[in-house]
Amino acid sequence: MSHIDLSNIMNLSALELTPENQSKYADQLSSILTYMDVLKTVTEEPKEAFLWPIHMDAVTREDSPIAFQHPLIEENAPECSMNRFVVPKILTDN
Amino acid sequence: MQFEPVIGLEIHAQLNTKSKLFCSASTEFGANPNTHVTPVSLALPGALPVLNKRAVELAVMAGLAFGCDIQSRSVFARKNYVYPDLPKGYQISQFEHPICLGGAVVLAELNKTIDITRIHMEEDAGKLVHQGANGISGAHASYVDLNRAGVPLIEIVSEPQIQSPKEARLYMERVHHILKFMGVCDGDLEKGSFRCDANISVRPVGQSAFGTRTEVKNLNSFRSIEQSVQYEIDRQISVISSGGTIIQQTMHFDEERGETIALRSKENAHDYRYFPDPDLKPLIVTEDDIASVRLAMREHPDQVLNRLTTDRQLPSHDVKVLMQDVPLLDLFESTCAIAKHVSPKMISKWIVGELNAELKLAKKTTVKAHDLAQIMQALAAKKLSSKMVKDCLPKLVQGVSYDILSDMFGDGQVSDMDQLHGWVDAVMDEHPDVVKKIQGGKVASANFLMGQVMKMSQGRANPDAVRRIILDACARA
Amino acid sequence: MGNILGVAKKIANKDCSCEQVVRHALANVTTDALGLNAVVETFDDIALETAKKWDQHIANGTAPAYAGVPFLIKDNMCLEGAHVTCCSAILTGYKSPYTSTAISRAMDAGFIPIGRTNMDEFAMGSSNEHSVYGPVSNPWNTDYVPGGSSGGSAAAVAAGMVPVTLGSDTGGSIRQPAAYCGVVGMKPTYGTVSRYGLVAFASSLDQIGPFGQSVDDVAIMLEAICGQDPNDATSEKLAVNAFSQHVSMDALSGKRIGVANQLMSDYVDADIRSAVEVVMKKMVDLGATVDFYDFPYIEEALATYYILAPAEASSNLSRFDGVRYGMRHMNADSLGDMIKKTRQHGFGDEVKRRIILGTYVLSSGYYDAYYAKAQSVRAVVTEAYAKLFREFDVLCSPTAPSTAFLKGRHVDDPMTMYLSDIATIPVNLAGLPALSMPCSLSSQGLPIGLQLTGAWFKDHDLLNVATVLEDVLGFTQRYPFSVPEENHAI
Repeated sequence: MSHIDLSNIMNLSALELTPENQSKYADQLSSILTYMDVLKTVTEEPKEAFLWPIHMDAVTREDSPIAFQHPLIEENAPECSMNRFVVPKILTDN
Repeated sequence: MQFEPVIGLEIHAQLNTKSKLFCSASTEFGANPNTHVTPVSLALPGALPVLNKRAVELAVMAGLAFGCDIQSRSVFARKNYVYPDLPKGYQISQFEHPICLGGAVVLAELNKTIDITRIHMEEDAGKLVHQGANGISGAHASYVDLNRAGVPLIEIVSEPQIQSPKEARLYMERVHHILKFMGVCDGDLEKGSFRCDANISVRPVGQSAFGTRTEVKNLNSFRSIEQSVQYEIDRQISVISSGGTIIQQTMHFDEERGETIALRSKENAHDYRYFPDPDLKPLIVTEDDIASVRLAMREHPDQVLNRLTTDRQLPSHDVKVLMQDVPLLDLFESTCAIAKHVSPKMISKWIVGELNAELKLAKKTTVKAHDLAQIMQALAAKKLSSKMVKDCLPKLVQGVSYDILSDMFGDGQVSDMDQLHGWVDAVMDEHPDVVKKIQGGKVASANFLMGQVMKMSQGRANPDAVRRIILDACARA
Repeated sequence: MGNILGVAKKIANKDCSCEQVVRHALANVTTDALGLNAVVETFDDIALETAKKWDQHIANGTAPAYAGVPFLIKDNMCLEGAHVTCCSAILTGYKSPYTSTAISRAMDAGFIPIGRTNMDEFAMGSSNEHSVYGPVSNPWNTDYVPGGSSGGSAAAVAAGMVPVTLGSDTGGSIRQPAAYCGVVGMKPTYGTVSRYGLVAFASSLDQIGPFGQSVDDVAIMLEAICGQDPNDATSEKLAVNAFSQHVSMDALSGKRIGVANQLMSDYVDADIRSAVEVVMKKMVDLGATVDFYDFPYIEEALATYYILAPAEASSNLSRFDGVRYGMRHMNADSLGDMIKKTRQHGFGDEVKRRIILGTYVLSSGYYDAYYAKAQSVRAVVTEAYAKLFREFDVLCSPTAPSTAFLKGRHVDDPMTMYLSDIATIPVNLAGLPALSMPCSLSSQGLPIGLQLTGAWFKDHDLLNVATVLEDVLGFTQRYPFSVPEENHAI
């Protein structure tokens, strides 16, 4: 794990990074991932696959609709028109 | 070279719930933008999903209808990708551990069974409207409406056992019919409640390995599935025949042009990074849960069909209408159960015929079975004439009860001979010329006298008896 | 400010009104005599309005038990109408349209939220240096960090601004700053407090918990906020929730206490080890048995955590895209560009680092080696704890391998920073309850934290043991020398 290709990861995580940050992160990630190698020493298999720390029934809901309206929804929106969130055009030309 | 197509379908059906899969926002169609939302469907910071119990019941119901194995433990996972109609940046969907495995769809007309791989639960995305020319590519801005975000869906994945566009269509129609019949999905294709993705590949006949497949997304009519699959098969064969290779890609079907169009390659390259959603514990469905769904669920359409044709012996037209109209079917079954000494055939004749027409006219779906049963009983006992029944149906549809209707008809149909003779005598006295015509052999003229008797009796006279009395009287005179 | 019961009593006896108490607490915060930067915004309007409401109720005799007692919330908990930013630029200006369950329950019990505390951005950090509002200082020595990520909540209590605050703990974010600031901080059993309205960092690890000057205050606040919530699928129905009641001063008698060899080894400061040894002796004096055990997964747990927490975070933080709320980068030529630039400028370095790490360990080709392996080790660690709690009632260790460190020391060395959570992280992996309480001061005069860990849902027992120890250790309500007298006028 000497060099990590960050471009794919940046794309997946919808993050732009400056070139300096890219190389800094790549180095730091390498050292973090090297530390992660310690996991290889665990050869023990758990009795049960991990799903949850506490095995009790989950809370569920009844199927009853409840209306929720709040002026802050619109106030918080960077751009809003006729109750819809406005975003820039989807596609670029390239 | 001869090619054969290999087709697998992924059907997305909206579960018939009042609220969303993970929050209490309404699922009602057609509301103003962003009014059916909660902190959860807006993906506000700190909001958490909580599973809708009814959605689970409906998914189990679908599984039982297709004979799937209901899994005692299934897991909701996050499917991560960034798109503005997906407010959380991930879709909650079952991935590795779906709620149903196995099952099958029988296409009786082809004497063929298509196996189901799995059924899983997931949430729908929101809606993105593009402003500007030429849709998405010419848009200068887009508008996000999250009313649909979080609406519960099941995805039914078939094995790649479908071998023609016609089969694809029949399969989709069959699944649609069963889900709609069972009440799992409202089946409204126009509102997006039921749609389909088709995975299509071709291979030379005799080859066992699959060819490279393409996926045609978001087919929302039976016609478009048949057309798009046919188009895609032809396209693939022509590409291969001319020495080209098929690229694995996602396609869109342009209904107007009847062509499939590849989406941009960027949208094809996805690494969804699925992992179990830590906000939701594994979904546990116990044997008891399954039993109570089974108890509450509607009979499978195949069983109903069998009963209507074999036990009830209904004519095929009636069966067809009833199988397509669940409220009407329920009315039929309930009326049969309540009405004594009335043949099911007679009940279905009235329901499928006159009553159905009245219901359509009034834009209603059903009437009270108890009232209809009373009317049918009265008809069978000849207390009401067919005409009287016909006349009272609009009122029944408006919600007037049988008790009030029977009051309106007084004592109902009159078969009392003295009373009938009185009316007939009076009419014959008034129209001696008509009596003569009848006696001269124009028996059809009796209808006029009958009409007069019916008028005089306000429709209550037993028409068969009246006719007999008139003819007897004319013969004697 | 005094403790919860003290303040509540003054209000009940009408020695002072709720409004006076709230104004006093607000003054403590805004004066910030030590220059801690612990609180990033006060909710003057909400606080004073609520105080006036409770004063009415007090006059009518209908006020709840803790009416008028002020508290501060970490800046990752939602309160309707108030800003919540997770100390991140990306949530600039965002006001929540709803209130988190924990805050709403605390308010039902009479507590009044008077402001939001500084934290590491999105709770990612162990020093409270990663905040858009700037770093927080440790009240014991302002050159030092208060710990993190709930550094502001810990420092505010240590400085006596309010009796009690709320924090969140994903890998030690309550306990480590509690240790560094010499206060009591508790992370309850996973599922005890609803996470609804807590901005998620790593959902399977996050728990809300209180900070206080005493175990009692922590118990009282926990009692107010705990319990199953229809809005959090992972919240649990509790058999015991009267955390502040039925305290037995005999709680340590017959208790089996376990101490991990690995957490008393030489990478823990000598001062800290000897402080814990003193506690062990006192436990024996109180009738407990104390034995060492081997816990071979300390480093593995750390590695597991730094895979799972970033993985979950990378997904949890996807919603911050500039579409519906918060910051939006305006200079973008397409939607994709807008989202990427918004996130580039909206998130700080540590957050971006963890999003990248989390995305990486989930991505195709690395999933099995990292994410899946970490889930498996998490199960192994959890099973190891289950076995331990057949032998022991309570586990005892240092909360952190060192006392508070100097600001700036580890900022560009993430791995060393991560190591400061080595004693707290395994507890979150297993979802266990644990608290940190001050037990001594180091040779530099900085507080030393003792971590006590209990079995699942044994939060009450844990608090009980801590109450007894607190009495013996005599560290209650001990403020740093520098904290001004005025802070304690009420």
